[in-house]
Amino acid sequence: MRLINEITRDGFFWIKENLFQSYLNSLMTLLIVVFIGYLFLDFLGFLINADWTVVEVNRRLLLLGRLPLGNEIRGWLILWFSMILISSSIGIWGSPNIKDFLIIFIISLVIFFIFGTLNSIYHILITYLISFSPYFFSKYFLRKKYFELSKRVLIFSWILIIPIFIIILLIGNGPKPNLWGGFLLNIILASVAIVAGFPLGLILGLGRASSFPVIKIASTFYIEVIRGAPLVAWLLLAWFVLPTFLPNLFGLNEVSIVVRAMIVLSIFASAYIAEVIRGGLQSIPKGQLEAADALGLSTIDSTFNIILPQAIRVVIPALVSTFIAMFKDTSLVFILALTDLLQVGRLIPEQEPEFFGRQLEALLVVAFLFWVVSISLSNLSSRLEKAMGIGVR
Amino acid sequence: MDVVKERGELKCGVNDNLTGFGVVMPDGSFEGFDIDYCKAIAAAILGDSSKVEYVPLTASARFTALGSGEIDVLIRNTTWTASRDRELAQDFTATTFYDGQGMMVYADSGYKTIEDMSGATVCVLQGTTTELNLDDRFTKSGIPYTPLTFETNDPLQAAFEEKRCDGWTTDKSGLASKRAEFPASAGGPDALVVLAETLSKEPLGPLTRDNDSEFYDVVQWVVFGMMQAEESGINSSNVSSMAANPKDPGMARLLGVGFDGGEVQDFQFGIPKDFMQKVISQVGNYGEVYDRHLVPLGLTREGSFNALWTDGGLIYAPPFR
Repeated sequence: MRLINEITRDGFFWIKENLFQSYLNSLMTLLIVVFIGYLFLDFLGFLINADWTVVEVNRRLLLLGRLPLGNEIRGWLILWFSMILISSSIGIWGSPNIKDFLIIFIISLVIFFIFGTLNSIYHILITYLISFSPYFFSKYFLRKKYFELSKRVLIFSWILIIPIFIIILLIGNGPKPNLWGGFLLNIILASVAIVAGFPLGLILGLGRASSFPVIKIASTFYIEVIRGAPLVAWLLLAWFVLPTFLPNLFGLNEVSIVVRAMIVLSIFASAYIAEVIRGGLQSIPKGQLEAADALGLSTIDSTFNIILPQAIRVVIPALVSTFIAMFKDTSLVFILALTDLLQVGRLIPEQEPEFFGRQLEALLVVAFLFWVVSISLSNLSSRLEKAMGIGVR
Repeated sequence: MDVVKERGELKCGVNDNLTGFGVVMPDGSFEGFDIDYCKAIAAAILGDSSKVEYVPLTASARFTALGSGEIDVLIRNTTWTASRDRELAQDFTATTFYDGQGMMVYADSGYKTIEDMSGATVCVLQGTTTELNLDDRFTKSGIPYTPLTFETNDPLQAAFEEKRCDGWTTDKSGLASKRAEFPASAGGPDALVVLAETLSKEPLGPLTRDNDSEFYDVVQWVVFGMMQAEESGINSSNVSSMAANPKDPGMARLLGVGFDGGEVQDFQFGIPKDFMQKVISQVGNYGEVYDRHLVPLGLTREGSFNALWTDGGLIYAPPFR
C-alpha cells in the first residue's frame, strides 16, 4: 500500500514537473492532449466503419500482383528461402533476446492474420518451422563447430539470393517478368537495386575520391548526372526514349520492362550510395593513409584494408537509410505498366462499386507492409551499429 | 499487324483502375468494357480472345506508349479530340462509348434544366476540363452560379451530402455510378436525378498509330462488327447457328459465310473471313459487352447516346458489304 502511494505521488510529481510547470506549459499540454484525442477518436471512427472485404478478396493481388494462378508456390519458395537465410544469419551472428522473438512473432501473426487463408494453413505452418529451426541449428551446432565455414556459406548465399529468386520465378515455364507484381515485385526490385547498386556505388565513391583526374571526373560526371534528374524521369527514359536511339544490341530493346526497371534502379541507387561512401572516406584522417604509405602498403591494400572498413562502418546509418529510400522508391515502377504493391492498393477499391470509398483500408495494409520491411532494415542497422561500436568510440 | 500475328499476342494499353471500363480482378486478370474490345481484336486477328498482353497505363504515359510502339492499340477511355487526332500522330478508330459531362441535383430541388439553376452552387473538381465546361455553359446562358471546387472526389461527395452545393458535375458515367452508390443515410439513389442535358462531348474509343491503315481498319471494323451484330440480333449464344444458317445476305457477309450456297464475300482485311464469328462467340456483341460491364454501374442504355441508332442512339455501324 505504501509503495502504491509512493508511486502515485512520484507520478503526480513527474507530471507536475514536466507537463504543468508553468501556465504556458499547461496550455501546451492541454492542447496536445486535445489534438491527440481528436486524432484517436477519428481513427477509432474509421476502425468502426472499416470494411476489410476489399483487402480480404485481394490478398493474392497485394502480395503477388498479376502473377498467373497456380504460381503461388513460387512466392512461398521465395519466402521460405529468405526465411532460412535470415534465421540462420541470426543464429550465426545475432544475439536476439526474448523480446525480439516476441516482436517478430507478433508481426508475423499480424501478417498471416491479414494475408493467410484456410488453404494456406499448411504453408504457414511450414513457414514457421522453416523460420525457427535453422536458427537453433546454426546457433547451437554450426556456430560452435563450423563457425568460419558456415559464415562463408551464408555470405555466399546472400550474394546469390537474387539469382535464386529469379530462378524460382522463371524455372519450369514461369510467367513473364512483367506479370510479377505486388509486394513480391517491390522486394525483388529493391534487392536488385541494393545488391547491384552497392558495389557500383563503392567503385564510384572511391573513384570520386581518387587522385587520378580521369577517374575522378568520370565518376563525378556519372554521379551528378544521375542525381540531377528524378527517378521517374530515368524510368520513363528507359521505357520510351532509350529504345528509339540505342542500337538494338543483345536484344536490349526487347528486354522486359522489369529488367529495364532493375537496371535503372541499380544505376540510380549507385549514385546515391557513392556519395554516402565518399562521405565516409572523407571522415578518415589523411594521416592513416600516410602511415600506411610509410609502412610500404600499396594504395589498393591500404584502401581496402584500412580506409574502407572504417569508412563503411561510419556510414552504415546513412547507407541503410539510402536502402530504405530505394525500397520505397520501387513503388514508382507503376508508371512502367507494372503492378507493384502501391498500385494494387490504388486499384483494388475500383474493382466493384461496392468497394468504392475503401481506399483507406487498402492503403493502410499497403503502408503496413512497407513499414514492416523499413523497420526491419532500420533495426538491422542499429544492431550493426551496436555490434561495431559506432558512437561509443 | 504482321507484328501482332508474328508475336501471337496483342499488346493492349488499358486502364487498371476505372470501374466498369478496366480493372484488375483479385486473380490478376483484367475485366471491363474497354478490356472486352482488346479481347475482341485479339479474337479477330489471332482467333483467341485470351492472347492479349495488357499494359496498364497512366493517363500521362498512354500516348507515349502507343507512339513508341510499346503497345499496339490504346483502349483506355480516351476522348477523341481534334488535337489528339492530329498532333499525336495517332488515329481514333471508332467511338465505343459516348460519355459527356452531366449535372446531378437533388430530386426535391425542383431543378429540371441548367436554366433553372440560377444562383445555384455547383461542386466540381479543380483544374479539370469539367470546370471549364461548367463555366462555359453557365456563361453562355448568362446565369449566375457559384462553383465550389475540390481536389479529390471524397470531400466533394461529403460536401454534396451535406447539401453545401446544389449540383454536382462530372462525366455522366461517373455521376451514374456515384448516384448508384449514394448512401441510404443521405437519401439513397432515388434522392438524386441526373439532368438530361449534356454539357460536353466525350466520345471514347480505341486508338492506333498513324500510317498503319491495315491494322486501323481491322480495329475499326471489329468495333463496327460488334455493333452490327447487335443490330442484326446475333449474340454469343446464337452465333454458331446463325453462321450455319444465316437469315439474310447481310448477316452472311458479317459472319463471313456464304448465303444460300452463294460465294463468301472477302473484305480483304488480311485476317480470316469469319473473324466476326470468333469475336461474337468469344466476346459478344456491343449490347452484351455493355450489359456485362456498364449496366451494373447504373449506366442505363435506353435514351442515352449509347443506344442503337434504331433506338434513337448514336451506335451506328456503316454497312458490311
